[in-house]
Amino acid sequence: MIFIVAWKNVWRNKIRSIVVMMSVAVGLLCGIFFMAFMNGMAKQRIDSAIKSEVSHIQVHSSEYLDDEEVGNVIPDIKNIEQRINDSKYVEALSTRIIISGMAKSARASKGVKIVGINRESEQKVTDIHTKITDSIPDYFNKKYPVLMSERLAKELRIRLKQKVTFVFQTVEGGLTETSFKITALYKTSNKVFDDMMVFVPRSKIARFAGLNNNQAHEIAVLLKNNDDLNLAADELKSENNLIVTRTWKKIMPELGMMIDMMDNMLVIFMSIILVALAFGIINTMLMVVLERSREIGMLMAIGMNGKRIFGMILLETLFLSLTGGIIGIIAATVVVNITSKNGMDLSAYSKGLEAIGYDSLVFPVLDISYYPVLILMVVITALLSSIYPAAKALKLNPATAMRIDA
Amino acid sequence: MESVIKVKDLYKIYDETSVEVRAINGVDIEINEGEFTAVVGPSGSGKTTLLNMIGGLDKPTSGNIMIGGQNLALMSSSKLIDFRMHNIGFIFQAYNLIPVLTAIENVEFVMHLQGISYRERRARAKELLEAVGLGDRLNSRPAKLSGGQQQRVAVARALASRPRFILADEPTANLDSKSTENLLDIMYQLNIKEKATFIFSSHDQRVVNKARRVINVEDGKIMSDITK
Ligand SMILES: Nc1ncnc2c1ncn2[C@@H]1O[C@H](COP(=O)(O)OP(=O)(O)O)[C@@H](O)[C@H]1O
Ligand SMILES: [Mg+2]
Repeated sequence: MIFIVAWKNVWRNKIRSIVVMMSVAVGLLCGIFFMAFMNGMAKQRIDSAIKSEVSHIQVHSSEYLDDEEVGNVIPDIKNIEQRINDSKYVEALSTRIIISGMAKSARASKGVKIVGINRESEQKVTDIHTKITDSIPDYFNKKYPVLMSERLAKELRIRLKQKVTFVFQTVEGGLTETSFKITALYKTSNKVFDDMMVFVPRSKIARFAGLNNNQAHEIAVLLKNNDDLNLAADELKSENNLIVTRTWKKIMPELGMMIDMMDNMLVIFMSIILVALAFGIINTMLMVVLERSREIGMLMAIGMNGKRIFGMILLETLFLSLTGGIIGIIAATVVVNITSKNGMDLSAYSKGLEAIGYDSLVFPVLDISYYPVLILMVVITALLSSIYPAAKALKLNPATAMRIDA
Repeated sequence: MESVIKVKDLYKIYDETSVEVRAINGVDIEINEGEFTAVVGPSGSGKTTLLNMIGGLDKPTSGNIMIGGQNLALMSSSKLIDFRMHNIGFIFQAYNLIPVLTAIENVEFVMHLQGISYRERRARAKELLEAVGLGDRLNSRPAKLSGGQQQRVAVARALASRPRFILADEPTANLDSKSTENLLDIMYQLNIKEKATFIFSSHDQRVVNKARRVINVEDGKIMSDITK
């Protein structure tokens, strides 16, 4: 019966209750949407880092990690490739030659990383082939083709089908100079990547650098599932400590930090919402106790004890916050679903975002498992906030509360 | 006749910073089972203060109140609430009813607090509301009832828990003369039929005429105590 009384009491002042419910709902909606947005952005950043840049796992020789010297190759590549391909976690791998060098045009020059790839295996591991904005047909099947970013081409002031010269060190130690023809241009959302990376056929660059086809600097491994990251890394780890196997988390520690920072921001954001909610509830419930002090005095007179009065106020708060919370969750689900289907275009601000590697089209996502946690946080905050007003109600003295002239 | 209420040497002094107010200034009363007693006196004479102390809603400055042999002063406040629920029925001048509940639910409420089963309390609530002439308004909310009808619901509610006695502080103060008479008639009938002990206060002479015993209070003292 107290349940019924509390529930009906919620609707005595409809407008006030609806305002409180709506503020709970809107607070929750904002919180969830912000979380989903940040989460989506971080997830996209990780996905794109994995898809376009680091893959899940990379293998290098330990010497190469100390010094990106042309000679610091992984020996006996074929054997290692075989072993990786045998793992049940592995989707695909791409073996690369990476040489730091200089790109020169007639008008400018720039430091670059020349990445020698096999187009077929690279396609299975990264999505660089999907970022191509302009190309000649069958662009990698030419004599000396190079795939470079629009940005770099612009900086070097050259265009598609024009020549670019690469200067780099060979295994023997001397400098060599070779010309490639730009057969395709690409553009990713990461400027740093675009400024550095040029792609050429592995067999061609190997020959210029003096490497054989059983030598390379890097094997990038794509897993079937990111959840298996640590298991796979363990399995692929070589007993030979000359070969180093690293996960993307190791390779890009700044991504992990970025995610930590976002987590902190979410905590702060959520705290602000909860504090605002707490003040709203304290204020509302104090008003309730004040308005109904006569009635509460009467209830105490006829036999409602402190526990029950306290319980009634807490129940009213529970109903108020839970109703608001459920409305908020429903609204958030709808909003997150819509935006996660269509994405949110941030291109107005995307210049800054792309500089740090973020996409301008964000798809908010949030795991359903967060929702009950958030509702719980809201309800607990509301209940804690109603303790003070409820305690205030207990202090009422029926004799004074009931005085007509008081 | 057994006495239900024994008040001895009762004082209630309010310390209004400089001037002390002796709201109850040395009162002794004994009230027996089955009485229909009016506490009468002008406004400010101490009726409410006296009834509140007898009902355990307020604490005396000094003196003793024994109810059915139990000393109210010795009870903790939570014990006192429980004691009130089981032993005393209250009818106030106003704000008697829970506005969100219907008439019958209001009457049931105390019985619910007492842990009486739904069937039993519903049946008794219905019976009592019929006894106060509201058999056709069981499911009306208080706001839909007249002042007199609301007070009749309060009478039914006060009786529902079968208390030792009922305290009614100016139950008719907000009613017109017809409703006043009607309410007192109902109380009188229930006093006989349900053997309920009533103590009610008023400053209205017509109300006083209905009582079998009239206790006159002035300036916190009993001036006369007449049993007809
Ligand atoms: N809380 C209080 N503080 C100070 N004086 C009070 C308080 N309550 C009642 N009084 C005083 O006690 C006296 C008796 O009041 P009350 O019992 O309400 O009289 P009645 O019910 O007969 O009108 C009055 O003078 C009133 O002003
Ligand atoms: Mg009074």
